[in-house]
Amino acid sequence: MAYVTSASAPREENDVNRRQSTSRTAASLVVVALVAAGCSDAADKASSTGGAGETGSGTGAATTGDTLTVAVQAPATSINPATVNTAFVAYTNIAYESLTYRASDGSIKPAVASSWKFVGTGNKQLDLTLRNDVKFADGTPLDAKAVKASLDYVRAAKGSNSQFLAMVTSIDVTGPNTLSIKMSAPNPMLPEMLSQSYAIGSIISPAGLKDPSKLTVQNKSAGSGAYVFDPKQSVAGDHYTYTANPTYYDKAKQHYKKVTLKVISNPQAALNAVKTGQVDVSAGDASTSAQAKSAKLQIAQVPFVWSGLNLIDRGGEVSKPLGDVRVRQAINYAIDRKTVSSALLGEYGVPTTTTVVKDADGWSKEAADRYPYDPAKAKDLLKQAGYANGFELPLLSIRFAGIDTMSEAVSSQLAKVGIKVKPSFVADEQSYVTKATNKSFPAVGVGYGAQPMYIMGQGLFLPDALPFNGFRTKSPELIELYNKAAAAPPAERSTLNQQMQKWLVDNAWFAPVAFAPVFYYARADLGGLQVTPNAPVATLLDWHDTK
Amino acid sequence: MISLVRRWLLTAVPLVLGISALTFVLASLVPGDAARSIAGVNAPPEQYEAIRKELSLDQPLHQRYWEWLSGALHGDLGNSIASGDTVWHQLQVRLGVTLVLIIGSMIVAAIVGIGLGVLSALRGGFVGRLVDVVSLFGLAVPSYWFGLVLAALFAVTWTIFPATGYIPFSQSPSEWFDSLVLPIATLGLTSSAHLAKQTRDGVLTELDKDYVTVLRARGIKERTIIFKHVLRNAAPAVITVLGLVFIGLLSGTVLVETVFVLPGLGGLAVTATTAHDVPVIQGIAVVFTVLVVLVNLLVEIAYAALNPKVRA
Repeated sequence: MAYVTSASAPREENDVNRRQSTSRTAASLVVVALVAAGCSDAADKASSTGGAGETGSGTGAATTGDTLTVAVQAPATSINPATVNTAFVAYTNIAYESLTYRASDGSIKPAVASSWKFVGTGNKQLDLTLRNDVKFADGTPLDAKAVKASLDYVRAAKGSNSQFLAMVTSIDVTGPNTLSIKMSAPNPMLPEMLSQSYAIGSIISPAGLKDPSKLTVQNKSAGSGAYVFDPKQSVAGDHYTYTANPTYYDKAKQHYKKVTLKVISNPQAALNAVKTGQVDVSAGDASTSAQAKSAKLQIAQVPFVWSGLNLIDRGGEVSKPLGDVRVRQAINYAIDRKTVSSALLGEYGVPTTTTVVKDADGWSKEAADRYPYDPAKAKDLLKQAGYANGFELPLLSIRFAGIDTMSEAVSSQLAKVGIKVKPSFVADEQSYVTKATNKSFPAVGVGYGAQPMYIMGQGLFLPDALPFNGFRTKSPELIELYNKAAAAPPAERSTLNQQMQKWLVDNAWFAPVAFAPVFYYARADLGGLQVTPNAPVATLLDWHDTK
Repeated sequence: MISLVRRWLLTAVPLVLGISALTFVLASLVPGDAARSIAGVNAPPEQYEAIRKELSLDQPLHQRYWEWLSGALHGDLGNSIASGDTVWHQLQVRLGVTLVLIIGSMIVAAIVGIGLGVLSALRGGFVGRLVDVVSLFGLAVPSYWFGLVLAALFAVTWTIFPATGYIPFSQSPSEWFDSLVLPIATLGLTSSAHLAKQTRDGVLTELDKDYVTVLRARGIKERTIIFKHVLRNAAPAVITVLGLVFIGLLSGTVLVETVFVLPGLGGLAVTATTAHDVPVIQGIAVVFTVLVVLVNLLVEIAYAALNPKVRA
């Protein structure tokens, strides 16, 4: 297997490259997990107090509550949907209704768009029909022209999410409430990307677009969402208050008169706030999960962020051994995932050899069982590759969200088969990005939020997937699989995605160790709190009182 | 007194300027930058560079500082990179909370610290040793940990006070009081240890002096000797510690406001630092520096009031 590590792509692969830059987004969900909620992960297994992979005990009919208070870990870097980082979409998606809605089971439901369909073959043209009863909070109607203007603004604003629309060639208004989005390359995930999870499909009103510089915490929001941001009741960096939008088209989805996002950066303080009823829902983490359990709070959790090693020098440019697939496979065999997962993540850690969670898009048992812990086999593979005495492996890692401790644990494991890992730790994202992309380290400690394969490709393993494909490794075989899957109808795409994931595992581009869960704590009688492998980040619009 | 204030001004102005420059340099030297915080890890290089340019982070450090200083001298501290809000507005909204927290904690620290110090010095024996133990405990315990313990006991277990949050006085005086009890107790009690120790040592030193023996020989009441003479003479050292306690409280607010989720400057300092929000960091540094130099002035005035030699 030969890999090309060049910045320039052959012509026939340009479409892929454009899509890659489109979705560095994939990893934005890492940030969703790691930053926004401190939520770091999600999985498919049942929570301790809730149902399967999902929710706590709050069940029953929804009733309208007075105020929903949600603890968030960090203040918003923007409350403009066009420029908000994916990690902070909670601040925008309740005020700006999106074209589609990702439900807690992962399915894509109508929102501003009542229906949509791909036209022709190859998933390159998406036609949408909008509801005709949607109004912005200022009372003006939301129509196809407004949607086009909003999407065009998002494309031009160059926010981190604008990458999702990079392959869009035209947005044509075909009627008062219909429009057609044409793309230069297949994008089967566009309906999902237009959901509240990615912000780009959250529509800004024409009034808001007149002067986008005013889409800040000093002013009311300019969307058609269930709530309206109220600057008078908010203190930037401390709490952000939203009041019910009187013009909202679906009152049944408007469960509260007021929603407050309260910034609580300390996990223990957040837990205390939920315990004492000051806050209804909070993100959690492994350090407080036992307390939450003993306090009989509702806990929703699902594996979400895998951590381990990203073996980026697959061409052996800096570390010759890594250019040999047998060495990368040996690394995978040498890790006792069960032990490491248990030691670092406790009962909620889920050992993994794949970059996707069980039963999610791309997962297969064959790939999941590919690398049992087998140090003897690892040594044998190293011997076959000519490294019977091991070798030295420089590793970049970051002191953030447990990635550093995972790197240290893996280093110890690899030492047992003779691989002497030399870890270097940085403390900030910028140093991490720079060093992961300037070919100074052949391997990188990583935490990455699970994604559908199409999106993950653009963020993790396609040639332009920076910073995670730091050497821009290119495999024609992988790209061909990716292109086929992207253009395929849903029934065929699933199998192709499994093949793609299996290819990645067989070729050991990564050495994933374990998935860590994303946690949410809530009072017991809150309904609608659910996380699943296909929708690991909960949306507060689903939450409601049950009594 | 006028010369004292003049001297203070002569040192305060360059001090504020120096601290602002130092803070700017240090904040800029912290690895990472606001552009990456805003763009996220996955942002393509061109987008990251565009944000850097928009925020003028591509300009030389001295040029950025000069621009900030020019604005500051005209009363414009700039805008928060993270929220877009003006720094002045953020400071205005939050300064009151921090001042209430600090003043409340100073009062608690002074009452508890001086009271325990005097008690320990006069009683000696078991009480003295007990005060020593309590003082050592206060010195050793991090306010952060102590705050979490108080929250666990008085908010979560016994639900007497709220675990987090701040209620403005205008909204509800009683809830305002409740929301401040635990944060003030955390900062005030841990800070009182320094005062207790200093007061005890100061009082014991004074009690050993000849003038106390003379006063006792003249038959003056012990209470008068203690409160009119001994405490007055021990006061300068205690006042010095009070000034230091105030400075310690400023840094203490950073942790305590985080633990109790108070919308003050300390909590803002944490989020601004995390987000590399230099204008906000600068604003907080200036406010804290001004507070420190003001307290130093008050300490000097207090010295002068207690000691005629200083006045002269």
